[in-house]
Amino acid sequence: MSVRTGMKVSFIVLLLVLSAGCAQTGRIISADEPTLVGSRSAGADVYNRLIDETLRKLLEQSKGSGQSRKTICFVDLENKGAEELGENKAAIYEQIDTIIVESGVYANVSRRYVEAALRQTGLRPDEIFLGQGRQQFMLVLGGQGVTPDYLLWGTLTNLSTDGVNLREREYMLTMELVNAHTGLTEAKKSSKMRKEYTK
Amino acid sequence: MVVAVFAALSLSGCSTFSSRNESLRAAYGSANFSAADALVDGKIADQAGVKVELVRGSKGLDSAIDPLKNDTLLYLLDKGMTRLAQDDPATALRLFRRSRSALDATFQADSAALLKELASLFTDDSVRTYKGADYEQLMVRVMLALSDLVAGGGDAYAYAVQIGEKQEEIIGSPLGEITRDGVDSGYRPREQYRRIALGAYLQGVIREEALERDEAARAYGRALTISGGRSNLYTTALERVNGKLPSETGQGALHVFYFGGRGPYLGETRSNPTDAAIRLAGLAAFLVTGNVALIAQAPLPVPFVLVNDAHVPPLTVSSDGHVGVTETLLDLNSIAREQLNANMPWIMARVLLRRSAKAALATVAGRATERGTKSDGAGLAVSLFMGLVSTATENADTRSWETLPATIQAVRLELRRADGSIR
Repeated sequence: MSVRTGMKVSFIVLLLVLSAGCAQTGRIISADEPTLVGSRSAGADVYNRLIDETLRKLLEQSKGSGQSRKTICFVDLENKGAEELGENKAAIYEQIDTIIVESGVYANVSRRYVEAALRQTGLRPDEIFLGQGRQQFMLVLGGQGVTPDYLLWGTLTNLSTDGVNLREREYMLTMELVNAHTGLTEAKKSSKMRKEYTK
Repeated sequence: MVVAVFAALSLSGCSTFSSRNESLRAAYGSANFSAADALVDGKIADQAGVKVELVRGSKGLDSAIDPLKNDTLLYLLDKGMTRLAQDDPATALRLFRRSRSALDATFQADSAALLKELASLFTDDSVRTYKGADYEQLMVRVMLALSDLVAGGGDAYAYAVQIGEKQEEIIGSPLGEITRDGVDSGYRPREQYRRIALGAYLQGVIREEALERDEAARAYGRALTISGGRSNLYTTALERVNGKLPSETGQGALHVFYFGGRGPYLGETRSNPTDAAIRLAGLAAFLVTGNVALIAQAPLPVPFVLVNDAHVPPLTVSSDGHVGVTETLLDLNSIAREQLNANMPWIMARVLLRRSAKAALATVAGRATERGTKSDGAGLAVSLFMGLVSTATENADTRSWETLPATIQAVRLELRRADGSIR
């Protein structure tokens, strides 16, 4: 190795040391700025859009005319995709709650009641859709004076396609409104969104 | 000036990572998880440059704890294990998730990334940001899937899918490919890795539980193919969802995953450079510096896998009159050894390059001294001294996730009563 090479490499080391000390910064993002698009996974932008589109379509399809306000119990969002919802889950539930209430047609059962009823019955969310499970669940909620007309269920899936240095992922959210008394599906809607990632 | 910089960079570490963690391994390995947890808190605080109270209070999750600072990432992985062992899967889940994101951020997909990191030439490998061994990339996802199943987070399927996705990304990545004048080095360490089937199996378990038999059958079929058809657990799972092994109505399934034995860790040894390592170092040196002068005579400090528990007997699980014996699904001792061996030529190549660069710097210093003192002897003495110091202070990178188990074993029992005791 030449003298010149030795000096060149030591310079690279020094640069790395100097650039390592950059401090973290933060700023408030104004309401009119677009949501940051996740570079490795779906992120808030994808979930916001999918939920907004799917749920509004579903509520629009199922609303009757001149009827009294019906009560929806949002049970769960099943994740059958390759990306975890993780800490986005709480925000997603809040968004669903807000859209239902804002519809003006439906009222939503508080998440606290749903979780308490699941705990008390020892049921997993998917077991509510079996006759016996649904009865138990409704009984516990009824004991608290809450009687939902519909059970709302969401399923998130995705399809991946790998290309050269690229990955395309299609995210699909399906939401289903089930009659709480009969167990029959009364409305079902889906929305899709595609996203491209560099590898 | 050159001597001062050189000395600072050479004195990078007198003890290895594994030797600094003996007490942690001992506490965790003897199932003293609260003591191990406290030790990990101290390590995280030390590596992340935060107060230990902050680590303890936030269970390692405070945003001020930067996983990529020093070796924080490795201790966050350990923290995940100590929390999981102390029946706190929700915290373990968050710690593993954070660690996985940090590992993803440092993942090296191709040789360009490896060549870039030759900036660490003057120190030793243990000074580089920890990138995670390839099997650790998979194991963090295994731990995420299992923690999520225990915590009921609803994302276990996603994590199970990620095990397979990351595995294919690793094995399909062109890391190791280095060409010079159109001649390929022919070195692709990741092609030698064996695939693990646990991700596919977990996908099958979750889909079977949701009564989606077709999807479960596909997942179990993949697991069976990956394992080479040698697993009873995978075989019976596939037969069950294909209707060949009927389950009685009213039966429930109990899965027990057993983290058996203390996992492998890395020690340091000295080894002569192999031909493959010399060839790789020559190619890398040419690409980075345009010069191929290498010093390849002396043995090199390199890591090797130390096994705590070579044979972990299966666990017998009984409940409600049903008895089952666990089957080994993952043998971390073998996987760690195979992957380290596959990567050894590149590890050696890095040491060779580093040593050669240091020798070049020692020559520069010697000549500078010679000119300043007008003495050939003084210049030679400086060169020799620096050469000796650089070789003696060089350490192998022995960093690894040391709290992993030696094996992951599992058994499935069909039970009538959900509240029966498990032994």
